[in-house]
Amino acid sequence: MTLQDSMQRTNAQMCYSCGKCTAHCPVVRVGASESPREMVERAQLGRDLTNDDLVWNCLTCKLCQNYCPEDVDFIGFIREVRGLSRDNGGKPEYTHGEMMQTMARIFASGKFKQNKLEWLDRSKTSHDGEVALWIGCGPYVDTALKDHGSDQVNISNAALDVLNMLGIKPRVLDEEVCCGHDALWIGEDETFEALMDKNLEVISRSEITKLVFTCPEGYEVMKHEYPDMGIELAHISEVVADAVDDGVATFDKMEKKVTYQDPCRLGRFLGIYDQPRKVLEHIPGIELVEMEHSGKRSRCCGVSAWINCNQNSKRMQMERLEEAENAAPTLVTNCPKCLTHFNCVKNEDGFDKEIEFMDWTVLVSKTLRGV
Amino acid sequence: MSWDPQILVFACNWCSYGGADAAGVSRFQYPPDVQIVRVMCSGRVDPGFVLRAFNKGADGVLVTGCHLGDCHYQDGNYKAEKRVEMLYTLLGQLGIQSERLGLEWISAAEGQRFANVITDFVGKIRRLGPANGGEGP
Ligand code: SF4
Ligand code: SF4
Ligand code: SF4
Repeated sequence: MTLQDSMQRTNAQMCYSCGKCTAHCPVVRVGASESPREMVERAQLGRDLTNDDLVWNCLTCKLCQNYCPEDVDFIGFIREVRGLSRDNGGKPEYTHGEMMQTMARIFASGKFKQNKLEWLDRSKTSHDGEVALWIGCGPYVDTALKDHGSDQVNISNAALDVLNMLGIKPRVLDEEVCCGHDALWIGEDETFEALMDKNLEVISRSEITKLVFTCPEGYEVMKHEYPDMGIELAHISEVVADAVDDGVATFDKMEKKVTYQDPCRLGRFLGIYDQPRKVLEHIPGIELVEMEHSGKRSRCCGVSAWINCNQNSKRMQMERLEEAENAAPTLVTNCPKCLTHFNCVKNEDGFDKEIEFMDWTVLVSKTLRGV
Repeated sequence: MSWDPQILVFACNWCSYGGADAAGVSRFQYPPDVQIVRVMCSGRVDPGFVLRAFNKGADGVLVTGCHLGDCHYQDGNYKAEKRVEMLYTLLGQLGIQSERLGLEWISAAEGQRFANVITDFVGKIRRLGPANGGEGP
């Protein structure tokens, strides 16, 4: 693989330097020295990009691609450059001492038999149902990042309650491993493929017909990067929105003015903007106010794939939370990782925002009263 | 079938590494199955180091530092203690027996204690066998 091939595949050779990507990039906004336009230009000139800051600082948030008149797949390009950089000994700044990446490698190696479901109330699940709920890395991240405010098991539990209330007793796949999303996006193709192969095996053996996610990353990677598994994939917000459409879901009242953070994977990658909003607006007492940048233009929670969390990230988070604060006292997140990153910024010195965070699934579980 | 465990020991510059030196100077014997990594403080041992050690084939990891209250940086060993507590849970979830991780306080004067701690820990890991369920003792 060469830079030339990557440019072909991602349309980067068509860039005519308009700079729209740079104008919208949140990393550039907070004062980074790098820019996507420059990077593509330098690639066209045949320069070596492997040491450019943006190689690893890019959030792969896909915001720039909204605006590119030449359809340059910039994040696809970044992903390939990451692979090339790795071949030359480059690597990201791993956050949390490389714990997350190491865990993914441990799962990929298959050396140990994982034991992540101790908290699970099996009475909420079934052994042979056709629908499964994906648990993912939440239990591990909760343990590792408790002090940072990781609350993912709570979200999985809420999803179980929501599904139960909709009359679904989902399976939980005991043998599922990390989805591989982060390994893929940091250019660790071997780790990704090993994880994918294990999951493909587990899912095909389970004979489920539908897999429901609370984490948009697992959903995205299985939908776009795994081979077609012949099953339906859905985010929990799609499942609830369907129940609302069918007129079967009823909700208790909850007096709250909220705003909504579109996760990059759920929004720009999967096009799911309306379903979570529709459900929120259907709950009596909930008033949904949009932030200055929302939907397709939504801005990132500041970190992706547990790499390069730095001052840029903190500035992005503070800016985003300012937008949220201006909109409503409660920010509803819909990605377990967005919630962790936002909770974490509360620990920063000088954090002065009066804002409450609430996961979408948790909020719904508190109000949904069944069908 | 002979099997020798691979054991990583983190020792802090100010106390437990001094303890290792003291053991050497006084010629106290301990098993040769450990590799010592000197760190400035037990608080420098990132949980990621421990996971990486197990991923790369370690059968046991021992974190050592100054006795509580004696840390050269005041509270680094309290941080180490908290991280090791967290790792006990995390290792359990990952399917790695948490006994394979140890935490001990050893002062620079405690050469005999250093030798004893290492001897005990190596004995324990030998009884547990290889971490990845490979060939046992
Ligand atoms: S994907 Fe996001 S962070 Fe990366 S260059 Fe585009 S806008 Fe910037
Ligand atoms: S928006 Fe597209 S065409 Fe314009 S500079 Fe960026 S990559 Fe090039
Ligand atoms: S923002 Fe996220 S990646 Fe950064 S330190 Fe906090 S939890 Fe870790």
